[in-house]
Amino acid sequence: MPDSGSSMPMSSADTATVMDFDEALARRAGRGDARAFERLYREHVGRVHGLCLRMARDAAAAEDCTQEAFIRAWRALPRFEARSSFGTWLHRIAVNVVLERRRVPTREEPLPPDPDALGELSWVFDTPVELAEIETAVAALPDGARDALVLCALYGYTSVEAGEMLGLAAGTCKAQLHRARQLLASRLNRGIV
Amino acid sequence: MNDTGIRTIGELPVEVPPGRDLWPAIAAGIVAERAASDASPTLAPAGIARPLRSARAPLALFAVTASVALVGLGMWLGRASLPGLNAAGAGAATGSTLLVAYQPGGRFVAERAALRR
Repeated sequence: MPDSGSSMPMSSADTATVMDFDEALARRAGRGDARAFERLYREHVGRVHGLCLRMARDAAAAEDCTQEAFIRAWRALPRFEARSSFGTWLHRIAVNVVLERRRVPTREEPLPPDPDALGELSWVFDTPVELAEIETAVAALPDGARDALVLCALYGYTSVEAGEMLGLAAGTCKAQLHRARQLLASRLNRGIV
Repeated sequence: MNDTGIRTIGELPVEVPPGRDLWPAIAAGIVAERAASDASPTLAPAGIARPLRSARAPLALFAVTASVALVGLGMWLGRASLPGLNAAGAGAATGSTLLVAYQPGGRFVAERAALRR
């Protein structure tokens, strides 16, 4: 999973240290230690809010969803069993909050009949793209395609993990990714190699 | 490549802090959760919850146990102080024991004396 705010991935040792620290804080917070939970909030709010912002496409909604996600996380902390990292667990909660707040379930276009035949994707543009331009293009994607793109291409989840978060089969999630890629290339008028 | 151009989706920032500090509102939500679930005292936003709920339970148990014990002791003392019936019956005048709670009437004493003759 990519490091927060940086294109350089953390070493596995660094990742393990962060996860141990988060787990220890989560255990303390689960016993009612609000200071420990605040530390977890300070550490994870940027990523959670970024996720909510890109999925919700609205700053006010993103703040509401972020706030609700942390309150639900506090409520559910006694049941946190550290099977996944605290960040992943928190992101699952945030994704659920965003999906619940969508007023109308979107009806997507039909997806390829055999998503399992789709290969792995790369997201490298053949020419550089302005940050604002690509943010606009991502925000303009349909909900399903954008959700899959944000979780997989940005936050580093596999299509299986993202599918579980979104309530989709892994193949459906992969198909959404391919659709996102095609739409992005079309909107940005660039090739994605 | 210019300074603002990116080449991959992965270069988009994943950490986007909110425009304001959400912690006060989250802390208020936590307090509301606690109030709704167990009526605990309010929690200061950066404070640590005091486990009053767990401290009250042993005190309550002690109070109940002490009450039961006192009632039992009182019943035992009361029963012990009441005049008892010995194997020979209500022989109030036998031996040196004098049962203050029961005083035989004069008619009873006279009739008993007549039977004894």
